[in-house]
Amino acid sequence: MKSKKIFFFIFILPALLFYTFFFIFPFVQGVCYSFTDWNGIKPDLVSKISAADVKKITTDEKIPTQKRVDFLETVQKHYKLERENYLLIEWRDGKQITGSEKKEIKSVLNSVGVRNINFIGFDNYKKMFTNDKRFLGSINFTIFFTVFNVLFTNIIALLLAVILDRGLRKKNLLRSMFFMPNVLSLVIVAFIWTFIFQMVLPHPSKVLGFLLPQSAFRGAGGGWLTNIFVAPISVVIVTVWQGAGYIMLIYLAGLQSIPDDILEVASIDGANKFQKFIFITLPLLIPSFTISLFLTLSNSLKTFDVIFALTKGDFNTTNIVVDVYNTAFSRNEFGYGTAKAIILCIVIMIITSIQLSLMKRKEVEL
Amino acid sequence: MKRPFILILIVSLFFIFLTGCKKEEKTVTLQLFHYKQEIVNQFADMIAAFNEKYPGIKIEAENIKNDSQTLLKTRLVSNQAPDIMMLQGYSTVFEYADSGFLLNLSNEPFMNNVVDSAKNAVTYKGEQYALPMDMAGIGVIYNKDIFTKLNLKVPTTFTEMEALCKKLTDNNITPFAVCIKDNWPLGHLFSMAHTSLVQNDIPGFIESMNNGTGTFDTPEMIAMFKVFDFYKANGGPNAMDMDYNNQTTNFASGNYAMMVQGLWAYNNSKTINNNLNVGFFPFPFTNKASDTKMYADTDSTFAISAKSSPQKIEAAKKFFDFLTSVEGVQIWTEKCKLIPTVKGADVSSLDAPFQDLVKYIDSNDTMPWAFSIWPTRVFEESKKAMQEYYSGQKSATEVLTYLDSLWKE
Repeated sequence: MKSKKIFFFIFILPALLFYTFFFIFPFVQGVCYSFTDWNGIKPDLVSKISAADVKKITTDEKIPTQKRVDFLETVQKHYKLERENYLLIEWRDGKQITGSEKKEIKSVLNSVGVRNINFIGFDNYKKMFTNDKRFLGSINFTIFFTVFNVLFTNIIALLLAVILDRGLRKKNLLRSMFFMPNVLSLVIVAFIWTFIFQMVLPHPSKVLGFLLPQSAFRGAGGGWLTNIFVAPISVVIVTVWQGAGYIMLIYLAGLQSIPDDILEVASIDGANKFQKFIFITLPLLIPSFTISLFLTLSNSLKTFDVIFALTKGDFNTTNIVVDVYNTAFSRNEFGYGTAKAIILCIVIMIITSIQLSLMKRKEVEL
Repeated sequence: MKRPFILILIVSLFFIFLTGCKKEEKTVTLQLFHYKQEIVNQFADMIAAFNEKYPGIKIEAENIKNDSQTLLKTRLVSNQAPDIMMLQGYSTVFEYADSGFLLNLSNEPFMNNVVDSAKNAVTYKGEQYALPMDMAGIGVIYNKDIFTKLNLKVPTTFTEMEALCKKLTDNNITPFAVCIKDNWPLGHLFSMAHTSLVQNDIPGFIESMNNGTGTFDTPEMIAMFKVFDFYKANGGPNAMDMDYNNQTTNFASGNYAMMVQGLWAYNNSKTINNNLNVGFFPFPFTNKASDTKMYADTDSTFAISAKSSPQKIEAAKKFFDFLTSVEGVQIWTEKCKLIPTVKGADVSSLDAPFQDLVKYIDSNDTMPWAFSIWPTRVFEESKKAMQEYYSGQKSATEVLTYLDSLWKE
């Protein structure tokens, strides 16, 4: 038995290694950054110290003498004075400074409080819930997007699956047609739809008049992707169109695994088509529901590409991920952006685990 | 029996790899990073001309057009800085210089060839960290054929601009090809309007904002939103839906008279319609003609990574020498079609709108790009806030107070 366990371990080892390097390690690093004020550019090691600062530290009575001596020695050894600044010597005798040397210098500098990245505790986490309207707005859109995307993707996918399961003519052709949007890259999908929204479809006030009051279209105006009331709906439409085909395949597989004899027994017992669907097909489909809901739920919470390619998150369509991107990369607040991403990660974990445990309880065994 | 053989094979292969990696000592290879997609081929010519002079230096140019700054940032942080990098003037240069990524170029002889007005964009705490490469202007690009056909004159006050647009609409020509769906040009529009109010006192304004006494929220700036409304109202029925591609295509179609853009947009329109006859003038935001100045400044700059080996740094400096030499400037103006920052450069080969811009620069009728001096987050959010103003999410006062609060953070 023992050797079997070792074999199991050896088999998962490659995957585990990749997982550790590409997921767990960056994740832990991300958690660390989320407690700092890093701006995404400043290097770990301070490469420039002003001469005034060096003087201030070396004459500071509060710092132990040994630390000050070490500090001055390190600065004199690894930095050169150029006008008012000490600059890190990157190359010496044709060799670049090594990682271990950098570590050494860093620890000496850290001990006297010279650092580029400051630890600021939970400040980032506090800020996002108290003083960041964009983040709070992005939560609203994320909820809107998730609810409608999960709902419509699953309803439409189930509908398509049921229709295809009926044994239509040209079934295989239709199946691949429905699945086609999933094969396309999301950026191309967004490009196609931008064209459709601008050139093909009539103005949203004519199509969505039943859903939105006319006042929504007056005022600022704007079309499918640029009206603040319509753009969120357009984004959902595109995502559903793109994602339904994949989920349909899952439902189709579920439907085809339901044994015919049970349905036959039901019809002998006098159940009509509707009753058979509600009382036999649906309960037996719950395992498919579990996986489909899980996929759509977690995907909609972390959608980025469709939104970015369609509207760049403008016109009321910024979800949390786009907001994280904006914070980290256009506003140069990397630590803060990472904190938001960590919160999103926790929320996704909580929501999906609740969903999974609820659905698992409902599943029936044949 | 087989195993040791395979082992030996692998080990020997490994060593072959290692020796293969060993570089030839004589040639120095420099990595160059730039984001100007319109000059990819022309820049290759530049490098070829340089190689004729210095065969020992090889330059590998890499052009990243989308989101280049994000990519460059990740490379710098992961210690893979390219030896030569193209940076936007002002805040990007300052930020990287402050982090110690850029080599101090203040004492290099080639900096003496550069005109003094271009150096502000690369001067951080009294030291110069990059070589200014080209001047660019943001203003109104106009279709000269339409203007001559309707006998229109270049406006110098806002009232004249209103009259002009009235005449254009009367003749069934949409005055502006606009771009609102992409929000970056709106940031330019906003800061341009603001700078036309502040005029020469930008350092004073920055200072007052930093010590908390200044504000965007002035009655004059609120009044500017009438100009912004006017701009959108004259942008055709689907103004909100237009992105940068639509804007340049529309302007190229000849059915639109003007577009408020940087001169780089001219090149895009020109590739669509080669027969365009185009001029360039500053947008008149106020009724004081003397305040209507061209929004022109240093656009791109080249910097050397401070982390490169001394050998590579020497080679990079030689390349910069070449860029500022007569020969280099000639290629820059004639092939790349960009306005050089080098003293006494001959610009007669440039297209008409560029000549217009040079005229404004020469007569000192310009104002610097204030948005490059604002904190990055304020400029970034000004784009969004302006778009939110246009889509009805923020009022004029809300836009201004929001930007104030961002500056204070």
